[in-house]
Amino acid sequence: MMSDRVIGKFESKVLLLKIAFAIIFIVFVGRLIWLQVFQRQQFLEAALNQQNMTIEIQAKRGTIYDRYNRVLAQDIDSYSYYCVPRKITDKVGFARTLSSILGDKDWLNKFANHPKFLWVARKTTPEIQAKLDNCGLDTLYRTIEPRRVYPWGDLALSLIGRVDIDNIGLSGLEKYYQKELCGQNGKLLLTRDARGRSYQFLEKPVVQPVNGASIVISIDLDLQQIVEQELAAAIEENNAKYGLAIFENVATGEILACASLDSTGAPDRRNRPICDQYEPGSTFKVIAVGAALESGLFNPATIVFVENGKYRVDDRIIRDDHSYSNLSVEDIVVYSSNIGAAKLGLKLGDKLIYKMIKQSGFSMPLGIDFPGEASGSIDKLGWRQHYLANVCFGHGIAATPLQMMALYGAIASGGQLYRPYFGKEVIYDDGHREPLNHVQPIRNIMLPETALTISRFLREVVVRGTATKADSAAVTIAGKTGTALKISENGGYDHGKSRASFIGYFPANMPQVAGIVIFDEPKKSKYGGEVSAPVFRAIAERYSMIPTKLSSLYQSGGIIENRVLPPKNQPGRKPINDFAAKAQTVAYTVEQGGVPDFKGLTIRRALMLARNSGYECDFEGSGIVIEQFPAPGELAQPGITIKLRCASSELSSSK
Amino acid sequence: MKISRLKLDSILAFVPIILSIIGIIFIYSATKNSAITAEHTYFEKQILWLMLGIGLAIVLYFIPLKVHEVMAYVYYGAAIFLLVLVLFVSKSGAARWFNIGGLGLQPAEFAKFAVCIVLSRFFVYRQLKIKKFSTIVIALLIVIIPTLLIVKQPDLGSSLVGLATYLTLLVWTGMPISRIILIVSPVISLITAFHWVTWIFAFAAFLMLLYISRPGITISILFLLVFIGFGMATPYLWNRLHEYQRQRVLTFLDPGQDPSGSGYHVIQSKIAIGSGGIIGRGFMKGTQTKLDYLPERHTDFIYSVISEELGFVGSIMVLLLFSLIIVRGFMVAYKARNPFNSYVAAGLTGAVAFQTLVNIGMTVGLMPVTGVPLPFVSYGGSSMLYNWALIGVILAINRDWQEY
Repeated sequence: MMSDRVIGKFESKVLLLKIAFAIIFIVFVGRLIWLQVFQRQQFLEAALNQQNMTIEIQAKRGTIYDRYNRVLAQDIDSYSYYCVPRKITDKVGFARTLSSILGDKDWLNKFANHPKFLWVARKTTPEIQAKLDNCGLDTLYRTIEPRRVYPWGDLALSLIGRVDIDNIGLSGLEKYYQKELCGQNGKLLLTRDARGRSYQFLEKPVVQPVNGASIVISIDLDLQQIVEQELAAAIEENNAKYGLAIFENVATGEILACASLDSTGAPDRRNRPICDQYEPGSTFKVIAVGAALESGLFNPATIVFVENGKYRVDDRIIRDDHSYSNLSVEDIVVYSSNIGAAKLGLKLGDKLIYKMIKQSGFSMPLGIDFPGEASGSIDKLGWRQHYLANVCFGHGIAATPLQMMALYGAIASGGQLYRPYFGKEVIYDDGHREPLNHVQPIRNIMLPETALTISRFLREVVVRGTATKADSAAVTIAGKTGTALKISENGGYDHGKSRASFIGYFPANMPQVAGIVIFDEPKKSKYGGEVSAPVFRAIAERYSMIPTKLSSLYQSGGIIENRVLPPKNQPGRKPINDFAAKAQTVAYTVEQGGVPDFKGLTIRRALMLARNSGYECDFEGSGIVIEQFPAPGELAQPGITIKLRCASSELSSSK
Repeated sequence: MKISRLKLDSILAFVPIILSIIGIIFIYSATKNSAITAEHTYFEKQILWLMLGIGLAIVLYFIPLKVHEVMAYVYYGAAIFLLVLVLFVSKSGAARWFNIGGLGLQPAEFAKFAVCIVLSRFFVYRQLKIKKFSTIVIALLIVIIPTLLIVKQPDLGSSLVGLATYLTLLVWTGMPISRIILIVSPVISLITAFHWVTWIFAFAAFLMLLYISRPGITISILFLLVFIGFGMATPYLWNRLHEYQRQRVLTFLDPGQDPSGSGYHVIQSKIAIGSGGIIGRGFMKGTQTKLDYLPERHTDFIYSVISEELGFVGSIMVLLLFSLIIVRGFMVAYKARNPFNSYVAAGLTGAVAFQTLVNIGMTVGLMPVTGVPLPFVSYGGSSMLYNWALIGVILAINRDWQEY
């Protein structure tokens, strides 16, 4: 019944619907292709971005132990508190509660700036923790984070250094051994649902945190404590600007104590013994004397005319504090004659002195494992005469206290210069240990004979020279004083301001610990012999009085293992304050004990021990002594030759 | 194509079943492991609704089509009565449900069906005066009454379905396009009046349309006044809209303006669909779905779940299945010889097409969020019953296509 017209109309409306359908279909398919093919990556990232949350799990930082495994720095678990500000309904109340506990820190502003995550308090102390736990804010969350603690407080602070809030080493050994200590932070992938509050674990931690390795450093907490106490007392007594000290194990170059205190006795920001350089002054005279003795032109008894206290070089005048006419080379050291030292240098020439200085490790870092070691400096060759003269008594050059201590350590160990170091061992999380540093001889700076001779001079300095205040009945001390005037603002030397130093080692007959003590601008006296020598003595006495302390240094040096040295060599047994001892200090014989035990010693140390106890020795092989004849403790005529058999040190010292 | 004895159109019979099963599968995926315990039973309920829906379709398939034509005004009256009743009966804020034995029934769904039947009958009886504006206007009034009642519930999405049916039928009765645009012109005025510049352009276009279609002086002046009146009424109506409705319009225009608020639905839906990629993230592995990011994921945004887990392949598949139903539905309308049957088939198919368009358009960010469920797929009992009812009727029309 439908007419053609109606059908025609039907056709047009079907066409209309077809077109509309086709357009809509194409638009939809196009939209899907756009979303699911072309923009897929963006949307996938958007999805992961809102669904996943990585949380860093802070790794536990390694512990720092002293040489006797006492804890110097350690991580403990503490709570850190955070909130998600945009989820907080009552921001004002929240801020008020926080302000009452943690103080007003413009909390509302912080909420606005960090809507997704805000640390409220990190690594809290137990008191703060208790307050925050009980403050009744249920949208305040907490998480465990390791907090660095230093059980000995500020002791050795300038040496150990500190870490920042993220446990990254900022200074000192914390910085230097950051890589070993820090470990690896872990990552926790949390999946977050739209409700936001229920974080559920989708997978296990993506990256497990690896705890940092612990390190054992060469510091002896006992000595460190003694040093800091004595320094602080002396700073107060002398009203000094600052005081510093560093002590090493002569046999290995390990640093035993290293302190730097400011005028109040509090730890300095700078670890001055390593990072500061200064004019060493008279303590540097051993360089010129050493060069003189090695040259063959001088012997200890050679007499030098010292010009009655006033000597002109180029257009400058060199003065001595006490005027003498003639001094032996020995007495130049003992009485610390500037003119004498200058004359030795002038006689030898600048090349020889320069060579001696360079090979003794100056004007370049010794390579200690500490950030910011200073190198010291010296003018390039082509010196004018008066500069050469000045250098010979330690003016015109700069050296670090560390370098000076290493020099005296080298003299004490028969001319062997060792690289100083702190890090002994690294202990990994699984208990596996590896050495951080090996004992590393740098070079022989002088012949053993020369070193022995200078050692004798240095002992004489204490016995009858400028450092009699360092002489002790308890322990034999050898060393040298130094008084370097500070350069004043107008260029010349300021006679009121000095750096008073004493560098030495003990026991003098069997040196084990070398060290340096310096005070800046002491007000009571400017002289090293007055200010620093007594402090050194006090430190040496207190330290050597701790039973087995000195003998144990041998073991820790990696030279002898699991063996206590025979008691015959114990220092301080013999009264040495009498006249005879003063006259014959170095040739210290072990009368009551017979032949000393050489086993485990290096050839150099064996040679020194033999000399000191009045024997000759004959070596077979090389390395360290493994056998001896006569056996230890046997009575033998002084002067006989002891046969020593040696073997490669690598074999016996490999751990 | 036909199961011979029943004269059943296999596409129209089985494609909805496939879509319903896809719906049940993804309602399961969308609600499994949900934090809300009530959601766990959704897919089971949906199976029940599907059974009931198919049952209803079978019943309607066997009811002679003439019955609907005779009963058209009864249906309409019943629908109006139920829509008024639900406003009073319902206690909670949104007055959409009748709770009958624990099953929620929405009279709006029945009203959609009734509107299509009554309009078809009206147009059949006015066939000779079909081009008259009075026909168009009376038909509009027929639609407007239930539509306003549904808006009052409030359910903007469902209310628009009635208007879509109306427009489809206007096209199907052969109304010239210019007339249809003229009918729609007040709405255009309403929308363009957001800004006076757009409204001036629309007004100019409207004058040109009047000039071309020449509907007569009275009608012209009437529409002119209506056009201007609607334009002026916009700010007033805008203020009368519910806050969430206003927000939905605004967010449709710019979803990024409030990503955690009103724009959240669209953004999360697009992330879900986009991250699905070509082959999807795998069944039960859609993280947007599983982690509750996708809102309304078992109802209005079920298509996003499918797109996320089955990717582009799945999205296109669903789109094609709907296309089959729509094309087939219009084919049935086209070949039906009885005008009433033809109108009913076209109107019902148009409603399905409209709902599909609006729902999928919403999930892919091409349409505003209106809360229209995806036919057969979205969770919802009344919606399921309505959709299966129309399948039953269209199948019956297909069976009796030769009858006049």
